[in-house]
Amino acid sequence: MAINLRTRGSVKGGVAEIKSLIRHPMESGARMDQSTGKPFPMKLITNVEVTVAGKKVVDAQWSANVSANPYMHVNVAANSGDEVTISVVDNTGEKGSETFNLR
Amino acid sequence: MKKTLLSALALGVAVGFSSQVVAVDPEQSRLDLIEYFKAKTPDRPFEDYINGIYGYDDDRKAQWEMNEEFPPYLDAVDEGKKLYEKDLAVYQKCFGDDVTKVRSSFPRFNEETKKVEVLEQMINKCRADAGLKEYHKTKKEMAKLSGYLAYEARGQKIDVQLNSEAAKQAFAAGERFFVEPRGQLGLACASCHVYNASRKARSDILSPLLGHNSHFPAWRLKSASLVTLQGRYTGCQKNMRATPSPAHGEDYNNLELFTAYMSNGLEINGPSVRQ
Amino acid sequence: MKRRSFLKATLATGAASVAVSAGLLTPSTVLASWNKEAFEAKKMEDGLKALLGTTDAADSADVKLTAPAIAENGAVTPVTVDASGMKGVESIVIVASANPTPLVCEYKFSGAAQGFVSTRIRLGSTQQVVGIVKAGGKLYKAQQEVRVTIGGCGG
Repeated sequence: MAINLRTRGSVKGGVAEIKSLIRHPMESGARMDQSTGKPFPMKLITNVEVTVAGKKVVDAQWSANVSANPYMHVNVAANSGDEVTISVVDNTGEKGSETFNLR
Repeated sequence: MKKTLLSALALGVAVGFSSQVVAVDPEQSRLDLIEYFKAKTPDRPFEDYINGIYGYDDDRKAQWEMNEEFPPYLDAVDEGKKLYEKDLAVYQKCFGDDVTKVRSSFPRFNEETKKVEVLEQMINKCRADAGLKEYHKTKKEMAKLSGYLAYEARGQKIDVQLNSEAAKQAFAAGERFFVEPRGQLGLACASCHVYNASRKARSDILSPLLGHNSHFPAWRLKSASLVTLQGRYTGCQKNMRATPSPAHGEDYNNLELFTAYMSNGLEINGPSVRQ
Repeated sequence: MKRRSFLKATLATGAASVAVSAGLLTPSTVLASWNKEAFEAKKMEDGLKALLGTTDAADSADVKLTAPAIAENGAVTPVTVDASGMKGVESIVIVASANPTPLVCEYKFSGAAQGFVSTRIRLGSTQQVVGIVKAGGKLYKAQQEVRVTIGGCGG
C-alpha cells in the first residue's frame, strides 16, 4: 500500500500553482485512543519533495502539526506541459508519489 | 387564518396541530422567508444562501474558500462513486439511468403511501428490496453515496413539488416541527435558524434556514467525514439537549420536505465543507 | 493532462501493486533526513535553533502571513506564507508558538520555486502563528494571533 496523493498543477502568468491533497492521518504518536487507553502509533509524513522539469525545487519536512489529510500549495516558475513529481515518505517508510504534467 | 411561517413565529406559541388539517400555503411561507432574510441582510443575493454562514463572516468565508478550493471530501465522493457503481444495476432500477437526477428528485411526497421519501432512506429501501444489506442511515457508506450523488447533481435547482393536499399537510407537519420549541433548552429550530440566523451562539454563527438543504451532505471538519442532513438533525437535537427523532422517520422526513421546499430555487452545491 | 505514475497505475491491480510497493519499502530507499530535534522541541526557540541555527528574525512587512483571526476548526487551519516579493528566499518555516511541539514545517526552495507556501495546520489553542523566511542568509518573520475557540452548537 502506498500513500495516495491528489495533485493539481496549472500555469498562470508563467507561474505554476502546484497543489496536493494527501490522504494520511498525520498521527503524532501522542494522541490517545480512548477505547484502548493506548496512544495511536506515530504515523506522519516527514519529507516531501517536488520536482519540476527534472529539477528538485521544493524540499519539505513536516511534523504532526500539519493537519491530517495534508494540503500543500507551492508556486514554481514553469511552463504548461512541464512534468511535475510530488513524492512523500512517512516515518514508517511508506511512500507515495504522483507524476503529472502542468496544464 | 392562512398559516405562514412568520405568523406562527410572531405568535410565539407552540402550535400543536396534532392530526388537524390546517390551511397551509407553502409558497407563501417560502416567499415570506425569502423576504425575511432579504430584510435581515439586504446585500446578500438569494443565490448566495447556499453558502450558509459564510455569507455572514469574511474571516470564516476566507477559511472556507481555502478549504473548498481543494476540498477534503474528494476521496469520500470517489468512494461514493465506487459504492454506487458496485451495485449499479440495483440503483438504476430504483432511480433511473441518469445519476445526475437522483439527488434532485428527493425529498418527494409519495402519493400512494402518503409519506415523504428522502434520498438516503430510499437508497436503503432499494438495497433491502434487492436483498442487499442496508447501510447506516446517516454516516459512512450512506454519507459517501449521498455525497457522490450530490456532487453529480451540482448546479441543478432544488425543486420540491407539493401536488396534493396530503403533500401540503406533510409540509405543514414539517413546518410545525420546525417552529415548535423542544428539549431542555426550549429552543425551536426557528429560534436559531430564522430569528437568530447570522448571530452567534458562543463562537458559532447560526446558519439561515434558507439554503440549508443545498449543501448536504456536509464534510464536517470536526469529524473529517461526511454527514447527511438527517445526521445533522440528530446531532443538532442532541446539542440542543432534545431527544432526537429517528432518522428517516416521519418527523425528520416531514422536516426535510419542509426545509427543502423552503430552499426551492436554490442550486444544489453538495457536498460542502463545514466546521 | 495528468499522467498517472506507474506506481499509481498498479495500485488498482491488487497483488501486483503489493509486489511493486514492497520493493520500495526497503530501508535502503528510505529517506531524506528529518530534523527530529527541531520538530520534537517543546519550545519555539529550541526548535528554531535546531532547525535554522538561530532565533534572530527581524519583523518584515515583506513576509505576508495569512491566517484566520478565529479558526473555524483548530485542527484544519489554513495558513499561507507569501514571501514571493523577496529576493533569494531559501526557506520558509511555520511555527505554532503554543503547540506542545511548536515547529510545524519547513519548506526549502531552490531553482524556479517561489518563496511561497499555503497549507493547513493544527492549532491546539489560541496562539501566535509565526511565518519565518530565510532569505539571503538572514531570517525575517511575520506573526499573527489565531484564536481557537470552543463552538456553541456545532457539537
